[in-house]
Amino acid sequence: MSVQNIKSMSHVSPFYVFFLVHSMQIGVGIFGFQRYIAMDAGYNAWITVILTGLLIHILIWMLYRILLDGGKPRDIIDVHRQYFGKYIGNLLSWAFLVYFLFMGITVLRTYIEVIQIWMFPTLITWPVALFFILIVTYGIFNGFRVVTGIAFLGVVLPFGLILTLISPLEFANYDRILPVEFILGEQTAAVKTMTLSFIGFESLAFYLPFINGAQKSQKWAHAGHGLTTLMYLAVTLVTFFYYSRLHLERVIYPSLSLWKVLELPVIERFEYVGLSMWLLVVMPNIIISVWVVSRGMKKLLRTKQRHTLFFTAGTLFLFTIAFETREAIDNLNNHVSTVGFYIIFCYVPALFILTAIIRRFRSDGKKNSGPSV
Amino acid sequence: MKKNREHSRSFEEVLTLCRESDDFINEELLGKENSIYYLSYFSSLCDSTPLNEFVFNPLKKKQCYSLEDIKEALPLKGVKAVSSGKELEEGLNQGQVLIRFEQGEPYGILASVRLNENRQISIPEMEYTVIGPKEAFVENLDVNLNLLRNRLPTSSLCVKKVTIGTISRTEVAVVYLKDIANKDNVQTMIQRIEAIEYDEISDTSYINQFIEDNSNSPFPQLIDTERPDRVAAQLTEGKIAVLSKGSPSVILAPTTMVEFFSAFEDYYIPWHLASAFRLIRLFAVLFSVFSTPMYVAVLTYHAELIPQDLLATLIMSRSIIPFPPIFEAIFLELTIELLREAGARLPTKVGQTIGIVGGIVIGTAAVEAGLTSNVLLIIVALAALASFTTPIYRIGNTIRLIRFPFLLMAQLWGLLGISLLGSFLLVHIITLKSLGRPYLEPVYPFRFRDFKDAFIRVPFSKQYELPELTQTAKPERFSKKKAKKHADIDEHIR
Repeated sequence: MSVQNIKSMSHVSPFYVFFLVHSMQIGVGIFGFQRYIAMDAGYNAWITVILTGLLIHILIWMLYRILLDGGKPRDIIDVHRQYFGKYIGNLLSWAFLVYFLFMGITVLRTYIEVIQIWMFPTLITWPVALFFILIVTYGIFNGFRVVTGIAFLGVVLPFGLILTLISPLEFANYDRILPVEFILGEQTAAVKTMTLSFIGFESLAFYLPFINGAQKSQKWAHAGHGLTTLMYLAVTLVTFFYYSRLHLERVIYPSLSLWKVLELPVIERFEYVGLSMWLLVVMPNIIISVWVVSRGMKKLLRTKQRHTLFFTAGTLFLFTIAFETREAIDNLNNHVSTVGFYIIFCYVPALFILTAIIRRFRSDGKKNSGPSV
Repeated sequence: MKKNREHSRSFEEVLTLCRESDDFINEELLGKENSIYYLSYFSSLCDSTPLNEFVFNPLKKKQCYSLEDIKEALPLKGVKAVSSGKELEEGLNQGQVLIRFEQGEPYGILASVRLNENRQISIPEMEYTVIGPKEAFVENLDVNLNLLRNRLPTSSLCVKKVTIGTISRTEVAVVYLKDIANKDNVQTMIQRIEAIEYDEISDTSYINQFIEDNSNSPFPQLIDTERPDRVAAQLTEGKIAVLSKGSPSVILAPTTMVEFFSAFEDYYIPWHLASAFRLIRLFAVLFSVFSTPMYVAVLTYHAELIPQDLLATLIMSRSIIPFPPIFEAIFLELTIELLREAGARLPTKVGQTIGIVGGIVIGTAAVEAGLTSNVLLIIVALAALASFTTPIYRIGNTIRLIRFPFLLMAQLWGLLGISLLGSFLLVHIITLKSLGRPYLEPVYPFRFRDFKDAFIRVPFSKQYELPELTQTAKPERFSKKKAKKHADIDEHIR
């Protein structure tokens, strides 16, 4: 088989960007984000969900402009190299990789923590983490096609869980979201909090070159993000209808508690089933993060991805088992979220403006050709 | 032994070697006017009637001076002169008789009087259907090809023969429709078969294991079937069939995982019924794999999961059981596996008895003795029953097997363990390929076109396109435009 063939085998069609974006955004955050945004903006926080969703559409658009500059899709490492030179550029890329590694650690550790709180108080972290990371490594070892497949199935298979949102409506009090008010100060604070639930889509910056016809994928990226927004909106509204404000303040994982309401003839405590199935939702998060880190390291160090994959998996494992206490995990979540917020709301627009200016500047000098690498 | 020793043997060496066997006959035959012929053949491979009628009699009646004369004298097709050891060895072993004038001559005439012993074409046993044709492939390659050609009387039906196996010299036929099948698929298939290095090929299952994309996977990646109608139908979808000498099963490739759960009878009954049965079968498979592990997980870790009323029933049935659920489950599952193995190895009549003794007597006794709970007995029996619904035997084996790791994981981490192993299998299935084509298609990669004949089967009139999986040379079965248009109410299309 020629090199050409192998390359096209690992490419996926633009349609899957929908799932790659969506699956990376939904993770463990959905268990408890409602409480935090309600703290910021009260029961008007559902407006925040829509608002943040719209803002992020703009960011996705910017990201595409940065990466698709010059027609051929590039990843952020190439962009960094082109605009910041080898040393500073690579340094920025490394920063991204560390961020993605910690994103993976956060998701994995938080998921295991939730399992420990809700299902198995005595569960030892490392064997589960090890098994989990082995699955992830095995998947990535077989290429990006498999990573995409997991993202796809991680959205499609657990999708039925959205029906569980219906049952709490039996006890809904629809007046709770009234009066609808828009207070700018509250909303701004809530947008910052809400952004944390949307982070993850920026992995686009790494896998875009693996999409066949990357230009066509933009609409799917927006659609994927749109679905995320709708899901968060649905969860937020159901939560607000169900819980009173005082009640919500005392519930750490409102979404999980909502599952308790669900009654099936053969299943009493649905959250056990739901949490186990949530593994499929968490899996794409980690598999994409690890893929991004291993792929990025391969490019930066010019080695084989097999080696960087094992290194990444090993690091992920060690860091995951290093966080043991509630405070440590909470801090980890906060730090990664904050960094994520700054990356997508400050760094991406800044990079967008910078590249736009430089491009304008350069194309004035050389009339017909775009910037060359 | 040397790999290509048959090439190195000389004419005389071959004969010397053959003479060591007692069924190798060297005969002198007196022809007219004192001419003598020396005949050598394996009596076990030659049919005595044509041997007498078409070889002995003509030679006796006629005097021959040269090999050419003998050739003309014999009323048989494919009579040829032979002078190389390799040709001779092949000929003798295929039931040909060597005719020479002198005992020591390193050349002669080979005439084929092969004895063909065949099993009659019989009813398919593994893939029995109530409706539809009742013929199954047999061990004879020519008969099998005949069955296929009868079903597809078109000159585009292409048969490519490859001989593999250093000792068995098994003839393998790769069959496809030239104007439909994808050239790359055919190329890959032939290459993979030619690359097989082994001494003896007993069955297509051997070939199957050699050419599978991932031979370490418990999931079969190529369908093997004994139904000529299935093969014919799949050939028209651009698939490739592999037949081999001495094997009543035919390999079909490329294939998808969903296809292993579709019985061929699905095409003989109306589409809604067929779709419903297919869904039931898929549900049965899921049930078969997950029910016992769920029982173990729930009873070991998540008793809260069960509603109060149901819990009472469960506790009642388990109250006198001295073992933990995992022990109980493995005990019962193993019993079922034992019964199945015993049943499969025994003659049909005895097998039935074993089934009754094992299933009813042991099961009831185990419950009465308080070794297992009757709820679990119901679950395990149902799961075993469900695993028999798979139309292709090989995937049934897989389902039997993967239940055990799930049981262990359920014991280890409860429901979390089941979903961990489940996602591992999911990753594994995504990585699998069948003849280089994705195994999980049409689910991933998502191809809407192929959903028409996957979990459900839409009516034939809607299946005007050929599946995307095989990447066929022509896109359509029939033109959509020519298909019947729907008339409006009270109107008729003329």
